[in-house]
Amino acid sequence: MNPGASWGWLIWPPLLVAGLLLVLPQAGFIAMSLHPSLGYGRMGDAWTLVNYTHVLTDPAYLSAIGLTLGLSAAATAIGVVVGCPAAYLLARMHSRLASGFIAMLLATSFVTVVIKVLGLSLVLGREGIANHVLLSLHIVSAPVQLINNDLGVLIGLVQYTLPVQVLLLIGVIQTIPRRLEEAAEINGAHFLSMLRRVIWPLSRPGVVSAALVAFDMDMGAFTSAAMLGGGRVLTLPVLIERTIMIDVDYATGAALSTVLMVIVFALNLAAVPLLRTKRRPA
Amino acid sequence: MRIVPWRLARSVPLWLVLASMFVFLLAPIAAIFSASLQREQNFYYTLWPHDVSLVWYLSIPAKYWRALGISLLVAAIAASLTVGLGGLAALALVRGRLIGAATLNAFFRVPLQIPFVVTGVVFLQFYDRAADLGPDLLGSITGLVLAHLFVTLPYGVSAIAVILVRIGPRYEEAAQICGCSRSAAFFRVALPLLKPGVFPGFFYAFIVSFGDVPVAIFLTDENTTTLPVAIFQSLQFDFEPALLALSTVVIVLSVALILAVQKLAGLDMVVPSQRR
Amino acid sequence: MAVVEIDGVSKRFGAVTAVDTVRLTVADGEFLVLLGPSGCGKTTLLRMVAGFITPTEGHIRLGGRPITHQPPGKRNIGMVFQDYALFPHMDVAANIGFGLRERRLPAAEIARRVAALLAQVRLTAYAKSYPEQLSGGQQQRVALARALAYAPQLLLLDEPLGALDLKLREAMQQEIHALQRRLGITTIMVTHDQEEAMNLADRIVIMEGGQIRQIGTSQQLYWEPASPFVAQFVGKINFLAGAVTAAEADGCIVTLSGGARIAAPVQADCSPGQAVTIAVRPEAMRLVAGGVPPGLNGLTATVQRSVFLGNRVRSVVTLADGQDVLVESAHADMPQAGAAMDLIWQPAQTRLFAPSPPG
Repeated sequence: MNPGASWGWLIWPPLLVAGLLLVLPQAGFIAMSLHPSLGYGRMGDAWTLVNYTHVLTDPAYLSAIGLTLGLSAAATAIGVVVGCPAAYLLARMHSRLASGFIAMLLATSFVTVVIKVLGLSLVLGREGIANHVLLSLHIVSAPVQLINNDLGVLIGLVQYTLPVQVLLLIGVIQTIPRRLEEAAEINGAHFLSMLRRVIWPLSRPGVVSAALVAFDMDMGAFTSAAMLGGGRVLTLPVLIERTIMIDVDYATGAALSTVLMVIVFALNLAAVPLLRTKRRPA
Repeated sequence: MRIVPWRLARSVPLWLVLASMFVFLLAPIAAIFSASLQREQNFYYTLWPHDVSLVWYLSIPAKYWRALGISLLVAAIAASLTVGLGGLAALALVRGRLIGAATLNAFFRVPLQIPFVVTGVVFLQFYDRAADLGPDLLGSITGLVLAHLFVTLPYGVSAIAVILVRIGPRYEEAAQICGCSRSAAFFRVALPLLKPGVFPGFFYAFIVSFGDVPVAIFLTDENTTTLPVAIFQSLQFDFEPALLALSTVVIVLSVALILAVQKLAGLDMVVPSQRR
Repeated sequence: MAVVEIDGVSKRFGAVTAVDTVRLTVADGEFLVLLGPSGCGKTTLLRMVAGFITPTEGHIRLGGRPITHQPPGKRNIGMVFQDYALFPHMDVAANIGFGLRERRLPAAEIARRVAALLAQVRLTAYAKSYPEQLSGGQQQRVALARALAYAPQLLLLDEPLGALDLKLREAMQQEIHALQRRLGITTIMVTHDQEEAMNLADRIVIMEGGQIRQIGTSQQLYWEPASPFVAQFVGKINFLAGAVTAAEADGCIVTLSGGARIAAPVQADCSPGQAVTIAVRPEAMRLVAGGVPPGLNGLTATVQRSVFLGNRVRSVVTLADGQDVLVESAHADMPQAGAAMDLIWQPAQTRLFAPSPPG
């Protein structure tokens, strides 16, 4: 009797559930985007690509796509720049001290996004704490607009994905044995040289993978953009919600959603070559 | 112990980055906490409340408590189903000799790449159509659970699969040599060892479901709404200071939950190890 | 002059003292081995010389220059790590040339030196291979070449051969010895394998509990151990308890707890009435039938078990008082189990120690 065979049967319940939940809704959804909208939630019967051409040629929609990509890329980049040093320190730290910090990090990421955004709106308002601090330190002479604009949304996105990135990066750096750092050091490398020549090449695939996770989350981020954008920052998720709930235009909404999905898939696919370790003679 | 200069020089900038990061991440939470204690709400928020009062804690409208209950219920059911079904899938993928295991693996990971808001829209129209055929899932607990399950199942599968790979079949083999049947060996030996996979999977699914807005916002109605959606809608239309108090309560509960689990079972019960 | 001076160095981690006031000088060109059981402090001491740990007290000097607080990279030391620590993302040539690139040597010079080192460790054909493609022994040689690339003043080896199987280990020991002799580089190695230490060292430092127990050549440690710990750590030895009953200028008599009388050469604690522990090496003993020849020490013993080990026979015998003794002999004939025989040895082979429990 092959023991492997009997374990295999267990796949059916989850497979059926996941399959039904994925295929049925998606199929109907994509079908829906291929029908014209007749306004007020009604759909025509003809099959057509008009929704897609509409979405992909209208400058308003195109700028929404560009905005979403730009903000997501910026938030992910900030996550990498801040996250890598922080993760390195946490990964190499005394483990009991590190556990405390990691627990704090987890706590901040467990607090639901809505609440964090509520807190951000307190901090970033014209009379909020951030402006308070900036003014008292004389970094600016008048309150800065930190909310209800792109900057506010960016800050919200970073709040959303930075903890996840750091947690993933800690794991990545922990896979690099400390002895490699010592070997580099004894061979004469100072700290920055060691980071550049040993840590970075070995952690790059992991950094890219963590960045992809954050990027996907940022592209789909709805709450931050909706609440911190003040209705003016129209990223794709915000636009989609608006199109469906307010305009009741299912067809266009569906087309927008599919475009968003395709962009995310495509970028993830394009990043696959970056996930291999760099091998160079130097 | 004498601090050696060259070691210090390299760690100072790293500590600065770490400290700034924590200040940045904790600022909103601290702001809510201190604002919730302030009697006079005039949108001028400082670091420390002027006149501390618990008045807002006592005046949280009932609808939010109801929403909290619904959120907890949905999250609990979705998380349980996630580890249940996810565990089955993980067992099959890791231990069963399935042809096309790699494809199945990728299949289970697909929901992770679909933005939440898209999932929300997709399920909205699906329930809409399904309503014509029979069950009305819009604004129902079941509807929310199914949509959340769709999104959280991948976490369950990967969290448990990682642990399965790590422990391997050797403990169950040892149990079988001692006389256990295969299923007894699994339930008595392997299942307890799977805790570092089941617990984080459950927590992650719970947190994702509990805190979700972009999916739930499409699938709720006036009678059945989750707490995050309720807060979101209030913030958009009519801000109530009681929300600050409510948010603080939720924060405290979340943190208490993590601390409790960490104390009881260790940090690796909370964080899924090496997410791939 | 690449002399290493370790001067009163201690390392404490909280309440634990890992290294306790160690004083040691390594001569120029010497191959010194730190030998001891796990936790004796040998690795901690080596890592302090390397610079990864800072001593709590004391100083370290290399070639007269104090290096106690210098970063490892500035000490001009080469090191081979326990699991080689080769950079997985670089090929063999890049690994070897790593330190040279750090020192900003011109590319042509780096290429020349790397080629020379590859030839020395006989890995020229593998210059473009990656560590994961190499066998354990080959990785070892790359690690060695990398350590020597920038002509360091001192070479440190941290249990470098632990991961290799027996035959390969012995071959690598030969290579390391030959290389060190050829280059004349001062070398400190850490190992827990006593035979490896004896194979390679000019001098061996036995450590235990953070302290140096004895320093000497292999012969000194083997034939003149300073304590029961050293005696049973380097090779095997038998311990028997007794008391001195007579002492003369040319020897003393010790009566064992079982009543038998043993002759021993005069040593430190030879006053009548003194309790002592007798120590004799297994290969100094023989099993004979038909009585103890005159002038030799002898005990009656019953053979428990004999094992044939190829070039020698090892027997475990039980004395009249129930104690077990190990005997090793080059003779091919194996004593019968259960046979009553006489255990004999030369009085000169008897060492005396103060009666502390061995090990």
